[in-house]
Amino acid sequence: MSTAVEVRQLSYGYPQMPSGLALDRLSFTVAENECIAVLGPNGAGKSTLLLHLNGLLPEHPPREPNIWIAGQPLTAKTLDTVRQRVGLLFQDPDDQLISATVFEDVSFGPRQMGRDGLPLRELVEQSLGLVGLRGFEDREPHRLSHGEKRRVCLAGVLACQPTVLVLDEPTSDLDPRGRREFKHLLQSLPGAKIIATHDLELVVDLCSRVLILDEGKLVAEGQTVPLLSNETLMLAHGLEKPHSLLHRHPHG
Amino acid sequence: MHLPDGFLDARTALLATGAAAGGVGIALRQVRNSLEPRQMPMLGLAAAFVFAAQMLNFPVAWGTSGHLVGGVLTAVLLGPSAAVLVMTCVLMVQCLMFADGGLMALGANVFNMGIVNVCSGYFVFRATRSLIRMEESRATVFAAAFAGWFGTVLASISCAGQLALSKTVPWSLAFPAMANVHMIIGVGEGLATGLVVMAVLRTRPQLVAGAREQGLAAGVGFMGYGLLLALGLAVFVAPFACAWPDGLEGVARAMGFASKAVPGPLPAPLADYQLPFIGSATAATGIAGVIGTVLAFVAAYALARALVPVLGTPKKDARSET
Amino acid sequence: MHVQKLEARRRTLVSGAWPRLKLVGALVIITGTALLPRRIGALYLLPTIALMVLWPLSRMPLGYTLRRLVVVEVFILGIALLSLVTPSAAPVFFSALAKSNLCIFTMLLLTWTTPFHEILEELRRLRLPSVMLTTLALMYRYLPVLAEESRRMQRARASRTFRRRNRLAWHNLTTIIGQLFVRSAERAERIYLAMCSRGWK
Repeated sequence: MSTAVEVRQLSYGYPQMPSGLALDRLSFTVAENECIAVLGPNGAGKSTLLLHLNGLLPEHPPREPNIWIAGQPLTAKTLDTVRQRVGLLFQDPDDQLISATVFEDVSFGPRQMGRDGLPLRELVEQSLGLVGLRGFEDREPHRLSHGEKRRVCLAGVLACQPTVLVLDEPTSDLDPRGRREFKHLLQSLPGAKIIATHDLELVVDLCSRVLILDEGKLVAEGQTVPLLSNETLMLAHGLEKPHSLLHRHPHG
Repeated sequence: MHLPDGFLDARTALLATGAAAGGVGIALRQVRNSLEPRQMPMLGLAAAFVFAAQMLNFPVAWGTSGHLVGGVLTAVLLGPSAAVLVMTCVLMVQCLMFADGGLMALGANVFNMGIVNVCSGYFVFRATRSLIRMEESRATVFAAAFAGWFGTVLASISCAGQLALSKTVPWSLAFPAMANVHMIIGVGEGLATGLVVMAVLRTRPQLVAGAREQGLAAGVGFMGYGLLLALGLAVFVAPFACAWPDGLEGVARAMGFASKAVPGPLPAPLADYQLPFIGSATAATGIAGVIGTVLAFVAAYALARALVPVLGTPKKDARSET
Repeated sequence: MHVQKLEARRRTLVSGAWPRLKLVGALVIITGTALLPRRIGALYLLPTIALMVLWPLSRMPLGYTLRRLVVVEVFILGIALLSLVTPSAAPVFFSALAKSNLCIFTMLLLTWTTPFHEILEELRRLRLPSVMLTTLALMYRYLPVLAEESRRMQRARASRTFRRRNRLAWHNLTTIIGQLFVRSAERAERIYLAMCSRGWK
């Protein structure tokens, strides 16, 4: 299997943080069609890592690349093409859903890439279909439920036709049904996925591998069930053993 | 102060719209030249913020409540050009979506509340802040409070001038009515402005962009705004300033000085509204204005001194990101 | 909020018309009304009849109309009364009253029949500068979001306020407004990042 994402010795310090690094020499790979989770306590650097994968950080792309997407290094020259390959779903759908209607918002990405007219319409329809929101084109954002907004954002990301999906806390503040539906939705999407989350049940159900971050360092990496069953490890990094593994009952 | 349609005649509306277009043009140029792409969404969010802030009820007295207009506040937080654009957009939406302010009068409203209020408030803010000897955050709060009052009053005078120029309301009535009322309303505006600036300084002082050298998008616009303000006020207010000699003469008479008949260059506006003890309402307002300005200055100073010690040592280290 | 009421609007003869027609129509009526002479006369019937015809065609509810008119009436009367001080100016008072009411009615009809994004689209066609279009669009999009944040903060404050509210009200309100600004600035940052992540330059 070829590598969808490769990260080598990635480090980053926020300018306002004089001491300590937000990311400290991170290295990992993600295979094609693999779904991995990034776990860690708040402040561990999960969101910072995700922003790097899309090239939003650092402010000026480095000379020496630390990130490769489908084998292509992320540098100043390749920024635009690589950015299009990585679809980033932000934690708060209100930050990503900026347009007056669903159609306008989902078409935002493709329009930046130069799509127009009928192909654009079809792309938007297809993306909305993928997330189960067919027919929502003319709806206004503030009339949508939280879950619907999140799915519109996902449609907007999918419309850019990325090869890697990166999601920042996708099931936070969704109700149980919303979480289940979103989980099924993610399962139906192909391609590599990197999910930063606190939702450990989601991780058990979706992700084959897990990375644990703490204070910017990669402190553990491995297969989901063995790693998450390691109670000592989990508690040591501000996490806990998920309930589904506590009682060894798989959830539906 | 939103003027509805039907109060301004065509000529005044056109002049005001022209002046507004000029001011917005300057602001657009400034913003295009110096606003970073990173800050573009902030304009929209700031407009939503102003709108949302205007919806809050400030209890005033005996069951009445007031609202923050936020023109000077926006100028202090974003700099003058961004503030002009933000307030213009707010006024446009208020007119087009809420029938708050007339469509033909939009130009006048934009000029009064979007340019006179914002720019004069900003000038006064920067001037006061640099002239006063005070610890930095105190000076900022003080200057913002005073500027908030000043901008409100000056905008109301501009509005009065437009009403008078349209011959809807005589100047000798419009000016005292508008100016006096807004000298009082302005207190609330100034107070709220100062308090909000203080709140922002307490958490994210770097967000008070208007206090910095450049603001969010400042520069040569200074001259442009100054000129525009002067022109606008010359058109809307100066024709009536000739009332001053009459007013002063009335004062002189009341105080017992022999007065040489000083014929004004223009005939006195109709409705010689006489007040006891003082020659005319116009002069009374003028005097009240001077007193009011001094009072507002002192009050803002006292506010800053009384409330701002809680800021203590300025936060040298910005909060770290998680 | 006002925008929720627009949802209740049914497709009517007037709503379906081109936005430009509606906007220009409103402008024509308003300009014409404003240019009417300063005494109420037969000419005032022109805009009145036009509006009375358009009103049922737009199906704007009476209650809604009256409520909005009343809010502005106070202000109109305030200014108009100033002109009443000179008795000879009584006709001016009445004409100003009539004109402004007619104009506001026109604006209400316009607002009722035209959703904001249509107006925005029309402004775009009229070549309004893109900075302003973006600002207007974002403002419309995020006003409900900020209003909700503001409500939440007020409720949180209220739940911790046990004494006479007036004393601390100004302090609470201005602190909330300050926080609202800070949150808006932070959100604007994230919005910028989200736009860039989808290719915006």
